[in-house]
Amino acid sequence: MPAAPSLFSEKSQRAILWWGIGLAVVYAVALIFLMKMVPPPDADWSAERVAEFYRDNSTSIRWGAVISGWTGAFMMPILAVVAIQMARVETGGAKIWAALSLVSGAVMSIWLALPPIFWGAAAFSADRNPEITAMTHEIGLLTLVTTDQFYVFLWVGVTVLCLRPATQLVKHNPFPRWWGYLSLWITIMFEAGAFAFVPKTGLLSWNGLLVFWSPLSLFGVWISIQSWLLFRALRGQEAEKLATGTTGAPVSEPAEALL
Amino acid sequence: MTDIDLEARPATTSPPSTRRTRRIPGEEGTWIFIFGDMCVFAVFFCVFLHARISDPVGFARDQAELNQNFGAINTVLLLVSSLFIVLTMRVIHSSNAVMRAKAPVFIAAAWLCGAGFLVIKGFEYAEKVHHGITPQTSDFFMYYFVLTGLHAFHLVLGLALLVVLFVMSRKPELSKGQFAFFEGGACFWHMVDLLWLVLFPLIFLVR
Repeated sequence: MPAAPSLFSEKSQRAILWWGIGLAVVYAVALIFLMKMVPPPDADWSAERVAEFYRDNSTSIRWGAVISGWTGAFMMPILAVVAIQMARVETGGAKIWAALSLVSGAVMSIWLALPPIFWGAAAFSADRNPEITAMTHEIGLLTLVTTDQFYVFLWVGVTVLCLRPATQLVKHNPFPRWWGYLSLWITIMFEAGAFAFVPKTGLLSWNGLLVFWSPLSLFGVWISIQSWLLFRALRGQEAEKLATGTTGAPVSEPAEALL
Repeated sequence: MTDIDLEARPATTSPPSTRRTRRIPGEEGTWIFIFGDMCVFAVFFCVFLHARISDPVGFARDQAELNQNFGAINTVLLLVSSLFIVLTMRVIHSSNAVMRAKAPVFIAAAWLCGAGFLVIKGFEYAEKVHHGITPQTSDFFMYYFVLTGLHAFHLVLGLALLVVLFVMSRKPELSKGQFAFFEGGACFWHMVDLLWLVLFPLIFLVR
């Protein structure tokens, strides 16, 4: 009697995805309620006012930094699963788009983990010279909102695979064509972030519509929808494996050959 | 869109019906992109108007500095380019080889109009910078540069897309999927035009 097919990979992917989502939720809660960066303080605040903000919220911001220290790399597990699934559908040789997304996930985590460290450092000795606190605060916020390029690599990769006709031939594919268009649109919306170095008020300031609110909300939307697509695809892949002993992925292109 | 709709309807073997078949041009996914963009621009237009209410005198004074001739020429250029795209959609499915051969010519003409828009936009920006006007000059000019710059960015994307459509239009035949992409690209170009048709009066003309 043949042995039952192993679902270790699918179950691991699901667990790792939930791990990343859990970390993302806790990070968001810390960002909003402990570090009080949603919305962030206005970019035209004086150094004295920034220092006062850190003095008033010193304990809260430092605990926020502690929690972010545990959760800031939430995109690594999420994008590990995304990359494995991209490799599964990326037929025809080297899994270059999947590799690009994996690298993007690893590096973007740095830019998500660093800002809370800067804010935690600003709150660590909030009684110091206000100019130093203000500068540390500015580095933190500008690091958060101007490092869009690392997200763009991922979304371009997802867009390419979604819009590639061959991808749609793979069963239980978590990258439908409509998702490619949405990811492409989110990519374009993210490009405004780097402008935050220039104005201190308006749409392109670090708390502006184009630089802060739209990327923040679209980032949440992207993670939510992609996770839903992944969970749905993983369910199908498990069911197919149980039924036929294969995953529906092209046999000649095993996902293990990602890198 | 009506022109595209009429031309693009696939041939059907079912008996003719008096009821008009409803069909979305292009892929459904294209419309996620287009509606997403239009919603964002709609929000920007509201934000601009809200800012204008808080400083009507300052906005009117800064608006007087704009060169309406540049804006008007650009409006004509985009309208003409959209017309060329409509003509492209009319001939792309034609069984007449002579008509079909006009598709890449029309797309090239639309592309040139779009490129002309960017050149004039470049002159317009240069004129502003020459007079010491930058996005940091005032709220009005911040909105002016951001909104027109964002639109110009979409236009650059549209021009890249037109290059793809140009290459596709030279093929002897398009598959169903390729045609849907082609139609979606045409819709995107019309959206870029439509956004300008709102942006131009909003920034250049509204008193």
